[in-house]
Amino acid sequence: MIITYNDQVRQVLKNYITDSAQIVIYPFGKRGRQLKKILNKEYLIKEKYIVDNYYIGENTVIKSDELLPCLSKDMVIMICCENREAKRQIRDTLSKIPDSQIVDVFPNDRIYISNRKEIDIQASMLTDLENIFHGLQRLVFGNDIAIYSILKKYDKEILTEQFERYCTQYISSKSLQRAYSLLLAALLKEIWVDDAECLLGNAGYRHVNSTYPLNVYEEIWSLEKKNRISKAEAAKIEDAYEMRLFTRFPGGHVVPGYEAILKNGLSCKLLQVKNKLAEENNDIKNLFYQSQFIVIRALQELIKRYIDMAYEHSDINIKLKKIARNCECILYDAPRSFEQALQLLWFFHEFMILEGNIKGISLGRMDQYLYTFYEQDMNINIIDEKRVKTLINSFWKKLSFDRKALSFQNVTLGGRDKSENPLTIFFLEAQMETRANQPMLSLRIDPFTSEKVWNKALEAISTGMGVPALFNDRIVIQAKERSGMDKEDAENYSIVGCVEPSIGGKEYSHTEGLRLNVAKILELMLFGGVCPVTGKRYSLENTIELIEYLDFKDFYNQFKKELFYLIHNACYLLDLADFSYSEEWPAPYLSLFMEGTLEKGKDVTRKGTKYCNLSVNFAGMANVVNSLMAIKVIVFEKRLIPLTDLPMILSKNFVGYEHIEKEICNIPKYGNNKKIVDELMKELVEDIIFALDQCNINRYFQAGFYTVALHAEMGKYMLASFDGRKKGMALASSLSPVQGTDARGPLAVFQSITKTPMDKMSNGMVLDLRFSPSFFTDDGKRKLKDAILTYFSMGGMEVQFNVVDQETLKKAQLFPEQYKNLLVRVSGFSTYFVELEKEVQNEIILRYINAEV
Amino acid sequence: MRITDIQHCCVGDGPGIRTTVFLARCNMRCLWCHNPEAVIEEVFGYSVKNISEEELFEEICEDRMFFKNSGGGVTFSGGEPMLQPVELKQILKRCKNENISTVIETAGNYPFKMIDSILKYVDLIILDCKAVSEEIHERCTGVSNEQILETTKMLSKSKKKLWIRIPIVWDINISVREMNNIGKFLEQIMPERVELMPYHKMGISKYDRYNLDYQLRKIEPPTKEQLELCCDILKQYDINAIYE
Repeated sequence: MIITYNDQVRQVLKNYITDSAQIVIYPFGKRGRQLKKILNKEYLIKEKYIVDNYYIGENTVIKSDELLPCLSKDMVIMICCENREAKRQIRDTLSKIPDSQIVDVFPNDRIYISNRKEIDIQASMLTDLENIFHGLQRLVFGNDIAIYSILKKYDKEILTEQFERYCTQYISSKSLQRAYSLLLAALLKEIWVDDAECLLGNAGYRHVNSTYPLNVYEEIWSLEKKNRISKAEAAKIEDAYEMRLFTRFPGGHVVPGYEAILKNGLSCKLLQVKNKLAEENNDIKNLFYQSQFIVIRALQELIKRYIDMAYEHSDINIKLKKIARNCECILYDAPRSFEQALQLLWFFHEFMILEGNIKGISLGRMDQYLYTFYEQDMNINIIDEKRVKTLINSFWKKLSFDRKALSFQNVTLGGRDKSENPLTIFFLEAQMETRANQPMLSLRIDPFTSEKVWNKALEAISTGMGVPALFNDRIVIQAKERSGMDKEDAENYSIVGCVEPSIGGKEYSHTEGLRLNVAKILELMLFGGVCPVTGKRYSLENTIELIEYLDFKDFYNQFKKELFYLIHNACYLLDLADFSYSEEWPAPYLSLFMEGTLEKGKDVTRKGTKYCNLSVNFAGMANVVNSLMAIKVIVFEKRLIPLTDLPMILSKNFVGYEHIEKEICNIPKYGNNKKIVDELMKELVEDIIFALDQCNINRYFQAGFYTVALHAEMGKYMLASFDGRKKGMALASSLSPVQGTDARGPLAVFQSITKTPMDKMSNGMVLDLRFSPSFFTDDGKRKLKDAILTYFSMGGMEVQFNVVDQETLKKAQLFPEQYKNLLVRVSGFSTYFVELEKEVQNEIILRYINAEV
Repeated sequence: MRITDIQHCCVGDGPGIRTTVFLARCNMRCLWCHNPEAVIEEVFGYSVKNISEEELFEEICEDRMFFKNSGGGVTFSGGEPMLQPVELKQILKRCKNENISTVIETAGNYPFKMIDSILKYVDLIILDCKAVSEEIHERCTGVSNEQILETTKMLSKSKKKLWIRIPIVWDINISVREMNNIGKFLEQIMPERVELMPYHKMGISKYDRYNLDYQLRKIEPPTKEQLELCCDILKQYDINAIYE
């Protein structure tokens, strides 16, 4: 069900509004504020308490969660958040309070959309909004007219909303609208100075609204509104999203070319834009340049605010004076030291959050483009290694400040032609020291990668952070060249988000554009196009009764046909959705950093930059391959059951069909170097890439085989599958074998997976391997390196290691069937963890704790 | 050939990445044995399987790519691999012909001439040295070590690459005095590498599963200090021992 946030709040409140209602709001984020607003304004009731540890002290009504156990019985606690994890934590703190007193305002079985459409400009604010707008216009040209007094009058969130509304009514260009919103955001953004840090800036983004669509449904509606798709088409796509046949995360996922402006400075960029503005007569281009001009100025205003604040605090902390001076330099000019470069880089990145385009904004080859600054400083002795490390750690802390604001920021290190340098090592070390979950590190490997870098990387991996992920330069570059990129550009690739190779500053390929659940197609075929979990329908190309399939070839060919049909639909949808961005949600700030936008006078969402591909990712591959194999053997060869029984067996989750389940167990599984299944995987992957190539008419569609965490989400919306997977369980991750079926160990997995053509997966792939920390002795690391190099020489693209922590070991103890492949190694004796007796397992777990200390 | 298991991606049984084949049967009964299934066939008969040379060779070849880059290959372990000399020789020969590096892990409890005939097909021999004093050896393994010591000496003379492994079960086979004896003995052998194998309790579960008597239940793995002490003692005899 889809509903606006406000309507949901009203629906819930209706049931709890009585004269004696005593409502407690918990927590007090965006949703909490929304509930308060409706409660106060529409129902004229004042809440009893607001509980939120984050905001204590901001207002006396807001209490910490320590208050909760003392609540009286007639109070009702309203949980105002959507995030499952957050909810779980809240439930934990509320464990002593009876369920009848707790209300989950936003249950997760519904889909919520923003209320933006409801907002009208408040008449009382109109004059102020006008004044703000004129103030901003003057500010752009450097006339600092104080509008702060007006800004202070209003709540930041309301002001932002109202101003955006004002802009849509009085400015016709979307690009310009967004530029002005960004300028206002630069003035409103909450900033602070942290005495302990040596760089200014923070990633907090509260109170700033983004003009981005909140979810994929808004995109569809925007398309429907413009009659680009019919109502029926829109409904079909919605259903596809709901049954998790498709998932999509629009926006972001790009490596902005921070490097270029870092080299020349903001003034230089401003001048370039100015020149273009002066010579351009074309209206649309002119508007684009205006917006570019405004966003540069906006960034400068934000930096200025930081400078002012740093000077204000410099009485207490003398260090701040130096930092402020550094910032003054980079406000106009190119950075002249490593410290200044890192500071400016941070400001670039921080401002990116304001644009709302925040998921997967990655930093590219940091060790490459920062090296000149480092080298310079080292040559004239104004910096030492200790200082470099302090600065990097500070930068890392900022990147990991707020997971909600900043996620999937990837930093790429090393690479072809011996491009590693001291910074490569420093960045790896910073990751180990801060142990932060952000950024994610990717290391480019080629045959010349030095021993030193290898050792550092394996050391980092062995600590169990799962980073860096290792990429095979040769294969990635081949894949990128295949997707239409010049050799030189391809060689300069870096990683976006999780594992998607991308050309920094030149490529905007929507790497999370669309993910297709291939396992779901098989399910839809078996259930006549109806999702048995949600009850939604997605009509396939042909509806064929199961009884009509005479042999496996028949069935398999039909599956392939449907796969082609779905891929075709996916590409069509992707192209359309992408188009809606160029119309509705341009990204002027991101455009600043993308090569080609200035020359073409086009926003990056309008294919302004050099490479604008689209990407389709595929999930559930190993499940499909194993299922098809099982159907082939059990249904069509051994004829143990008819195909028509499959829906029932799967609906019953194999209960009563244990003999079939057992039969499935014995069928060869992908990932064990068994030719017959591995060939099936290879064929499917090749077919998928072929199908994508067919859709390649005006855009190149890149294939990706990685799933982030969506294999779990997609699995939740599926019944059991015929590979033996139970109802609701996660699908196989990425291109890895199904969990627990790769019983022959990592070398067999390497051999299975390298049969697929990875040099054609231009949107990346993932191979997850799990190891226990005990594997990583010095000798073990050396041998692991040899194994990886062999895998790469066989055509492997990526590999990442999950060195399991103690928690996982405990889980493996509880659910051995999912962890069959977990190797443990104790002095020359290596075995599978699950095969050990419980006490021994305990001992290993304990040993691990000791090793941690 | 009668085997109990084939493990891929082994990193502890010789150089590089190896595939280890565990052969069934043993002519010793070590108190600390962690592979009883390969030893006591009467009890673990079901876990023993017959594998043809063809099948075995095919499985060994699976990971060839990984052998090549890491300097690895195949290791025959057990049990005591030398108890199936004919089959072992066949498969070793075949591997050698195909340029796959070969290692055997053996206890040496047989006359030297038995192993002499296969030496040309083996790149490295990993030999156990469980105790030098006959009394201790007999108590821990049930057999005298006369023949083992003789075979060890002969192997040393044959100039074949030799690694020695010393299981360290403190107070059972190892004491300061015995370590000195081992040092004195190894001084003449001059192996390429000496590894200490600290006792661990991983094997207990296998005994429990079949209600077998396990005598070392109360024995703890050696401490780091004890292992360091062993290394120090061996150093006096010019031997650099390593342990993980």
